[in-house]
Amino acid sequence: MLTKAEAYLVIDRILGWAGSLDVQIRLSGQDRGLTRFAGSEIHQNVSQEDLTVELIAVDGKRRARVTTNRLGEEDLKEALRELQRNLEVAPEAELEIPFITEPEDIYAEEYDPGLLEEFDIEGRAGQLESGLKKLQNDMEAAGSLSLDNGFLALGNSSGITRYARRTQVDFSTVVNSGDSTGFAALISDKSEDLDISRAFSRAADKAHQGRDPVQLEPGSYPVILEPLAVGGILSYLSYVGFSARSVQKGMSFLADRLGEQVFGKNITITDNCEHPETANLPFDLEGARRQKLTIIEEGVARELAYDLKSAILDEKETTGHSIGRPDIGGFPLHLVMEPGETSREEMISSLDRGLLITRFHYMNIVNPRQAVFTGLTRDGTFLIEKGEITAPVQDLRFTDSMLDAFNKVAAISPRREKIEGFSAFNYVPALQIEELKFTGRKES
Amino acid sequence: MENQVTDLIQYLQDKGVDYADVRYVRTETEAICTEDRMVQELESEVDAGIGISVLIDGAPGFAAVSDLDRLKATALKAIKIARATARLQKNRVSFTEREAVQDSYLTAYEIDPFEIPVNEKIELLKTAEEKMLSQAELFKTSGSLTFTKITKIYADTEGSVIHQELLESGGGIQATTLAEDDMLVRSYPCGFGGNYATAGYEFIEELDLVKNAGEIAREAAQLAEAEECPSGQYDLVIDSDQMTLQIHESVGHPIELDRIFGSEAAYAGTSFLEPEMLDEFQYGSSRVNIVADATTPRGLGTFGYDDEGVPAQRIDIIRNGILTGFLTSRDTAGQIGRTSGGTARADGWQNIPLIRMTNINLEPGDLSREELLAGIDDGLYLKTNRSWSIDDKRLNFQFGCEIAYEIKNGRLTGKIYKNPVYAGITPKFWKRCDGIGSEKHWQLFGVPNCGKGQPGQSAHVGHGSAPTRFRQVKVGVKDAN
Repeated sequence: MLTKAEAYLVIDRILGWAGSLDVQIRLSGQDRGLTRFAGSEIHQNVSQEDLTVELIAVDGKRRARVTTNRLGEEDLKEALRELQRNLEVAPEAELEIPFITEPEDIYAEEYDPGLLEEFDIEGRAGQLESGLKKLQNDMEAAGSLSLDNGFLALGNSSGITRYARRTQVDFSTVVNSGDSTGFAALISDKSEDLDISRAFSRAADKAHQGRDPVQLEPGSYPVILEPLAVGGILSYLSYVGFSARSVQKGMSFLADRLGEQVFGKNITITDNCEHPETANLPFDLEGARRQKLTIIEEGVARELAYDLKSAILDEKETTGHSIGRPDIGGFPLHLVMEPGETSREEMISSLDRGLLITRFHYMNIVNPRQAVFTGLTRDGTFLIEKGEITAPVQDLRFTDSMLDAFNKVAAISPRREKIEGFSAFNYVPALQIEELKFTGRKES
Repeated sequence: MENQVTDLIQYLQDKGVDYADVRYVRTETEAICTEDRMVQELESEVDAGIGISVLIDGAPGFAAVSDLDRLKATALKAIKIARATARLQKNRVSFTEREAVQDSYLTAYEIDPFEIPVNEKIELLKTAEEKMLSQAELFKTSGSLTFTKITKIYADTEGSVIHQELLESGGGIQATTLAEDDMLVRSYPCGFGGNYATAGYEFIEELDLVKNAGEIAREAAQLAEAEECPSGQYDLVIDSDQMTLQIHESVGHPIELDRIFGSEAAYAGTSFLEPEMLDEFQYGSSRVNIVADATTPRGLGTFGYDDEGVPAQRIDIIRNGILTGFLTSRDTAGQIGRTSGGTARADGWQNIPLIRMTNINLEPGDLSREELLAGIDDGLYLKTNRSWSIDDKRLNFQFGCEIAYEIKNGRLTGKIYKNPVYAGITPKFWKRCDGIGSEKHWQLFGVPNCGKGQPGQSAHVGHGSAPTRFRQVKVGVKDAN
């Protein structure tokens, strides 16, 4: 783990060796400990320490990139020489993409030191030991508990510097109770959010309620999606549709629809790294300040995520959402869905017949332009009849357009949860949707 | 480097561990992506480090580090982790026997891709894109080439020292068109970045991207005008490039013995298979013969030794439709009374070995392409994967393909459909297999992004097959089953 001062020193040193080469340097360090358990015992317990340097050089419209985790002086000088060689043979691209030049410095050094103590090697084993004791004898749990302690630093020939510390705990468990399973997950950068024993109990309750599931015929059903299920859909909506690059590639369901009503009026989705319930990463992987985006406002498509290249193509400014992959472009990593006023319990009591869904498994995109997704329910699917949960249900496959589904949101919960996204976490409520189309069922 | 690895083994023995292995892995990658005849990405990467596994009283610990000046501290960390594991462990890990070896392995290749000038590779992709654009009006064209050189030095406390040099080459091209509310793609030689092999640059030359660019461009343009694929029950012939994903998801993953034992239960899921089904369960029709073959020439899952020092093997998985084998490691094989099949592999230095597919191959049948089609009155020929999804026990699957060709009265009519999707239940589906193309039509595809494990690992695996016929499969999602 390099401190800000140490990281900036490394960047300065590489810039010195780079001489007249116009270069961006990205340093990322990671110290990760992950404890995995299955059958209520630890079966995999690992640690990874890595420090990587990414060097990007530009010369007009030419661009090249070299990445290495060999950090000796001679290794880095050789990496710079290779960068120079690649730059010389790289043909000109269609655009000149200069590096970010301002502001001079952005940093976020705050982290919760309690995480490092509570979730170190011994701490993780102890937390799991305590949580697993709460399970009934006929239940078994599998899952993982990890501590990620890392940093991201960036500098370039224009003299800018960036540093952010990232410390995060991620926990998930599936509790197995014979013919049923229950799931719970926690992800946060604050120790106060991480009650592991309580999460085990939640998963165990779901597993208990899920015993003796009934089979339902596929078809259209009203559904209540808990935050885990909503978070899964939101991540894929973001992947396929919320970036300017996906619009430029012709992939996004928002192509040619900015300013139009695409979802119901009760849907507002922002991307906001300054929200207290998202991770604080105030700059992107090109060094641009990460801006708040109003992606969907009361159902209307408003703003897209840009990196430098996609912004230049659209004659706009970057919004600070680069993930270091020009082929993907800007990517929102701090999604926040606005809450509603209907609690999960009120949603259940309002339904004459429908399904309560904990989460989805193996979601994928069937048709990106129409936002048609597919996936299976998993670890807690229940039938609601006349306002009450009456039976667990064997898992079902949905295949449906999320453009349709998000136009049929009948209610949104006031309570929201941090849900793991493609990177970091999003902050989402539960949703009640008038109908979701199920096209198959899992067979045992 | 070998001395550092063996010195570390000695250090761990001196510390009193019951077992240890040390893996040094260095991966060198070169990637070139083009889009609309412009270079999108030109990237070189070097990634190296050491992973240390220990067993103390049957409790495992693993620590990995990229800073080679911190090897002893990392070894002590692995020991500390093993002791923490012991706090919450019911079953001691034990390994099946295998002979200690001192050996080396090198991928067979003719042309080192890292010796080919970068601008020559860029020119190849641009020429293929120009060919696509000369053949049809397209929204977008793209291409990619990726080359990977992996050096592995493995040593363990049982006396093995193994040096491996693996070389991988891969590439592909794609044409995209737009229709109202739809984006259509055609890819060659398969979707998602193309085909990969353990081979040199000669593999890229053989792909002949330029020669094949015209056909996918024309088909992409035709797809923009094509009708949506109809829904219903259809006889299908599935091309080798889509069979790759079909085998991968509905055979390759369910036969992983760690998954069967529940190791992946919370993440990737489990399997509908159980150890007791071995040599009993009818997985598919009697025509279905599948092997896990880590020795297949050029297979992306081909190597000399796995990351537990077990030699590469060819194992029967399904013989005449009956399940006969699983993918195993040293700690799982003994639990079913077998020895390791040599399929424990790690993604780089920083991860522990998990049971991973090698080359899971459907053996060829005896039918010509014409004979495969001849038995179909009303069906579809499906090609090139576009989407995939399968449940956590690997039973209910749904795949989308780039294109469907209509079959009527035993012949392709020339009509194509867009957005075909088909679905099934794994063993029911494989029992509907009633014809497999002959060896002449058998093709090998490499999948470079097979995900599993926490922290997430990406494995490089292969699948060989010929076009295969399945009867009465559910196509489309309009009618629920």
